Amino acid sequence: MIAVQDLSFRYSDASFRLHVPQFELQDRERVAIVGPSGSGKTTLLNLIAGILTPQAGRIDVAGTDVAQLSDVDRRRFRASTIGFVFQDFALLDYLSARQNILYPYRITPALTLDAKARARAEALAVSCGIGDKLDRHPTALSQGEQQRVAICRALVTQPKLILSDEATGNLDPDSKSRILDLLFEQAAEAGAAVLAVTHDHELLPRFERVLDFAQFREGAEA
Amino acid sequence: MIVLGATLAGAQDRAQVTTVNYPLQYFAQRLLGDGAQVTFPVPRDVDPSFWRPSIADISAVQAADLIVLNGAGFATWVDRVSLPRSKLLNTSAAIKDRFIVTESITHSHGDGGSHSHEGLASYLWLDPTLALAQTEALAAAIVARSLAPVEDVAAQLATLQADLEALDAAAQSALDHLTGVTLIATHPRYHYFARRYGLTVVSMEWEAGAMPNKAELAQLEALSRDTEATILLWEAEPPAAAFEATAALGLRNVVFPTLAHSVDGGTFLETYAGAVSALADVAPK
Amino acid sequence: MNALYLAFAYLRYHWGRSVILTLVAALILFVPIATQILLSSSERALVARGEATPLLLGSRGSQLDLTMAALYFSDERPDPIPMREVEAIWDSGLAVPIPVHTAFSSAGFRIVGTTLDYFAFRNLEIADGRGLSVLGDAVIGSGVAATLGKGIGDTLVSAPENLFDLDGVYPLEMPIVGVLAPTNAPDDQAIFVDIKTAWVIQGIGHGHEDVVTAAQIASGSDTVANAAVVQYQRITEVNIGSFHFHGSQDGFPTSAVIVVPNDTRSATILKGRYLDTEGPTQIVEPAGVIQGLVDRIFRIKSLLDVVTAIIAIAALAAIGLAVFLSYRLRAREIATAVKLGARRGMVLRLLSAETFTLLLISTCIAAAGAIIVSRNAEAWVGWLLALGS
Repeated sequence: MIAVQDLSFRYSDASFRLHVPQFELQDRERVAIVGPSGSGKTTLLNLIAGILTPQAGRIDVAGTDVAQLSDVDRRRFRASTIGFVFQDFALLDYLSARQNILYPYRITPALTLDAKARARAEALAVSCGIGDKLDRHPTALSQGEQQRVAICRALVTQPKLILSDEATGNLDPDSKSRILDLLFEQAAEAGAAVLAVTHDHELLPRFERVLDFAQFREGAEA
Repeated sequence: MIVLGATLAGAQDRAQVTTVNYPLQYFAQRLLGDGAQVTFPVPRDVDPSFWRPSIADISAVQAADLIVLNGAGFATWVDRVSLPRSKLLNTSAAIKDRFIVTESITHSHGDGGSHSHEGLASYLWLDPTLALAQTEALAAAIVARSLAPVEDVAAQLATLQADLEALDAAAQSALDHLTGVTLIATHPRYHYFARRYGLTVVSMEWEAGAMPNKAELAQLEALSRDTEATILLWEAEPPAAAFEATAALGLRNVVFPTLAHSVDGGTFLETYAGAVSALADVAPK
Repeated sequence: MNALYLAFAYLRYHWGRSVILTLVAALILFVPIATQILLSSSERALVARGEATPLLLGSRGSQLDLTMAALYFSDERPDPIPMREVEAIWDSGLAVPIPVHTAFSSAGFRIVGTTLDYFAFRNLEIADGRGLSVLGDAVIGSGVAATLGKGIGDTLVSAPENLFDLDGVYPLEMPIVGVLAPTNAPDDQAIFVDIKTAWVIQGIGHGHEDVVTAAQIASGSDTVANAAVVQYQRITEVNIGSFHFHGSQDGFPTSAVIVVPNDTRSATILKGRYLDTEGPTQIVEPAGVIQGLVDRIFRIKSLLDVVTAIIAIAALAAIGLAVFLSYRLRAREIATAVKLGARRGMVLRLLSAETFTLLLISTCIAAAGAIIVSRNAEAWVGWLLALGS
């Protein structure tokens, strides 16, 4: 699913540098990324998603060399291939849960909002246990419910890859476990691979593989 | 449709003139001929001076093309109804200096103290020279409002005025010998007539055409004694008994219509001439 | 379509802010349009009335006061001129003079004493009832009828005035005998009586009714319990015969005289006769006086335009700031959208859609307002002009 080769990236302020000689993620594989703060975990997710472009190296996602795509194509690629789950849920207050789930369809021409998409959103919400709360706005939902909405949003486009950036970081221990189960369950059902950045070491055993990020860090001294 | 339309148009085109007394109606009809409909709306049994028009009467008057007033305080109803000023003609506006002022009436009301009304004698047309002046005002108004062709009106006016002048001349000679003779009138209507022909007329306030009562007869007796008058002028013919009662007082009765209304069987000129000769006949030679 | 959907959802969710922005924008659009409509209608109404009134004769003094009193029945009370001025114009044969006596009012509406010629001159038609016939009759404008809820068979009582310091003048009760068809002119807001009735109100004409006077009641010399106590005069079939006028009608007053010349030449001759600045009367051309007023209004209007423009700029700046701030608040949303693969220019699209939606609703509101104003402009202007009185 993902093949990273000799990737190097630095921000323009030059205080940070990331080098990943090699990293691979198989289809349907569930991999956790751990590592100290500032080690570039989120940066890697952004590189894989094509939000950032590397200075050198190759990132192959689902057979596409992301770094070689134009900006427009990268956006389209991201919208149709990748699902994102964030630590802060990143839901929109002014939209109902249903419309939050369908949000990706509203912001890109790469996706078409049709009856199938709507049915999918409905089904996802039901299987995530929020089927009866679809008309509520995020402010009227609990944290766990909000993250469920966010998971539904990530999955509704049927992506091949879920990028989860501390998706359970803001939740209480009970919820963490349940949300992760849900995420895995839904990803498995959709046949998507999961690449999750996490600090919760107690959750690591549930992943198939753990990638410790400390090895990639090239110190600020460089 | 065309015939009907033409008839309607014809009816509307015909000038409508209304007057406040018979003499003005007669004059207007003479000046306008058949080209206009001249009406005098006061019923025969109502004194035109005190007529109280109904709303329908007022509407009819308002609708006229020309509303001919006598002036000199005649027909005070015109002060209490709304009339279009542009249609009004006061036929005596030019002869105000020839009006006769009668006694004052004093009364009071409210907090305003007392005040008096000046009375004006209003039967102008009994002096044919004043009537002549009225016809001039009338002719001018008809012409100004284009109610009839100028030449026609001028011609009619000339004939009418000639008639009035002839009437005046005839009255002058017929009544010549009455100068200095005192007459008694049953009603104060003859001021202008008396002035024109040098007559002295003292008046009572009898009801026109009615049988006088005892008090009125007593007043007449005293008056005839004081003035040595031997002729009594009646506005309208009273019951025969009235003539007998006054004749018994040594008075000769003459009916001299004031002509505010027309008199059956005669035009203004005919009735006036007839009245003058009747008076001349009874006068002591 | 999606951008519009999101914009609408956002506006609906933040409805308070949206309503305020919409209303502010609608007001900025509406106010200048409405002012323009009303002003041009006022101008049309004013100028039309002025042009429909060829000449005006009145006492020397403010031409505007004279015009406002005689044409719009305003509160101005020009010094009265005697009726002999009317007769003088009749005698000249150059014009039809129509006296207008506007010294009195009833229930807040001006009582206009005039002659029947006025109704013909203004083409006023009786919608209900009949025209003036008998002394005391009143014919009311449609606006008076609507406001007071009065009609045929009701009465109006003249407001007591102490204008002429006359003793023993009682308010006059007048029967309403007719209601005029609406004209959208000041005539809708007037009570018309025969000028002779106005003189009765003024105390120049009166009847000999057995009135119990206020003085008698005050001194206790008469029983107030008497049902026949008359607090105001009433002209009835019984007492109308006793109504009479004191003095010569030539000396009776009128506030102004509308003069309708036979032709241009007559107008020129007449104007020449009243040129003497020492004379007690003047003849004015209302159209010119009104044009002067209209010019003044429009000078004020241009000032108003500047003020409106400044306010509009300030308000637009405020709206801009509000939109800008809301985008600052939405930076997170935008970041999310980018991560989810939002198309390029998504932010701009959202901004445009929102602004477009706001402006569309504002424009609809402003347009609806403008339509209402222009539909009713004539009536409102008539009312506004009458309000000056």
